[in-house]
Amino acid sequence: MTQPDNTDEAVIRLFNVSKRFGAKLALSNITLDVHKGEWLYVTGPSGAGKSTLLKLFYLGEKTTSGQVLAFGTNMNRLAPRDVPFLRRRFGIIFQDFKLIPNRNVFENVALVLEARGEPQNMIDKRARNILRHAGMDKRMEAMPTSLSGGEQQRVAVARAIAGQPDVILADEPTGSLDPRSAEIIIGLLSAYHKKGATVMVATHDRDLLARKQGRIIRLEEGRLVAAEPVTGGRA
Amino acid sequence: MKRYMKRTVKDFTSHAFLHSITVVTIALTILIAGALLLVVENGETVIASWKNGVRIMVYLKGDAGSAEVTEAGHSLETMGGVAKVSFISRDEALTDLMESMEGQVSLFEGLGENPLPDAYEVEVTPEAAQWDRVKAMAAAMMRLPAVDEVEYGRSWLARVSRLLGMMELAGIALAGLFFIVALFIVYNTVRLALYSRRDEIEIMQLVGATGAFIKIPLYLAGVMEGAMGSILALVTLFGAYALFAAGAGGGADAFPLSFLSLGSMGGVILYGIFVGWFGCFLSLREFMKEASS
Repeated sequence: MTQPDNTDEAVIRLFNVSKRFGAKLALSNITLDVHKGEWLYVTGPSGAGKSTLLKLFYLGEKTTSGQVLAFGTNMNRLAPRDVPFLRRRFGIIFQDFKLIPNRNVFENVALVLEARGEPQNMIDKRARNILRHAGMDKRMEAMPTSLSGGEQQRVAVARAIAGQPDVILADEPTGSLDPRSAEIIIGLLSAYHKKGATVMVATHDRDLLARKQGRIIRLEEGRLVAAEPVTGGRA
Repeated sequence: MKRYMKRTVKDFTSHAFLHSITVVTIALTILIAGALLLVVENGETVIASWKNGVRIMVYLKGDAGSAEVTEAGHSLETMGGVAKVSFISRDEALTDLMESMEGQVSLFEGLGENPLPDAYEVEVTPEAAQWDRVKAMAAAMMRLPAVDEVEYGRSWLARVSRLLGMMELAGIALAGLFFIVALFIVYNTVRLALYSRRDEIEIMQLVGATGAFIKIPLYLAGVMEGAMGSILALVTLFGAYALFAAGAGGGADAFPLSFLSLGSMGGVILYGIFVGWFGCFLSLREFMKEASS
């Protein structure tokens, strides 16, 4: 068995992880550590297994074989009732935003805090504050469908960081955005990363990768074909 | 709970169409079952009133002595299935007959001697008011020495009784069937409603919402839909009943109609709530299983 990087700072560890969908092997024998406070790009062509890899961390998918440890917890042994509490340590961002269409901008962000049972005055205060940082404070009452793609993704980022998660998982966060909107999204993620959060971005956006903002790992046909060494991680 | 209630009410307004469809579906199915229940309840009233009115006339022999007459009265009183025994003397019977044929008194002018016999009017208990039982009681009464003739009901009454009994059974069976149909229709409607909100539920799960946070407002919505659906069904049924009762006219005198009893109305509302909850329970169980697999 391949040994992962030897560090106590790993927030997520993968040991020989494989994921199969029927006959298709989506991930093959992946061993990887994701360190606390690092910025990690997962790149590779479409269908390489980037999204599947991210899904394993928050139990959007389960491994076919191998072990995933998140914050020291073996995901294979996590009881279903504990899954929501694990997910609260992740902020998840999707290419298609996944905002709730019948809730306005404020409600979409507040949902994360409501789900945790936070008191209403705290929910109001924090959701407004985050939306102000995201530059969406003037559109708090707007419904998601009335927003541009860039605005929707800003709301999605605000929702992801509202619960102050340890790790941000962003699956192609700029994939459907224009360069200016993409710049704003990366700026918001960078600001949260500077507070000490771990950020994992799945992307094949060459402009993003050219920033040399963090470590890059590359997947091809479900295999980890290239991984840069850990160099401190901060942007 | 207050927060869950608030979310449920907000959800009702934001998914007004979806919830209205479910409420109307519940109302329609409960309306059909409620209408059958109404027929059954009124049928029972008719049967009960008929059963209460079952009487046997026991005519005594003209030459029966007073001791024999008294003895016959005692025997009748102690007979099983007898609620009340009243003696009607031949004179009383004639007076009653003359009163009932007022205007045709001339018929009685040349009568001379009173031709009517003394009689006992026997009132049958509701439990014994079944054709076979009444027939057996009448046969036993005929065997008393002082008794000349026994007259009880008519065979068509027996047939009506049997028919009402069958209607009652069929009504209960149909009402039960429609209540089960209501359950499955609601289950499917709630399931469709849940599928239309699949993304919303998935997002809630991804942001760390617990099962209770997701399910409680859906259960509350199910209960509210059930209560609203059954109340709507009762209001509609009452409207239809009022129109029918007003149009029934003279018929209403023969068979006095009444709306569902308070107990039945409470039962219908409770059933609506149960249907809403149970439909939600079944759909959610299946849905959450799929969502977490």
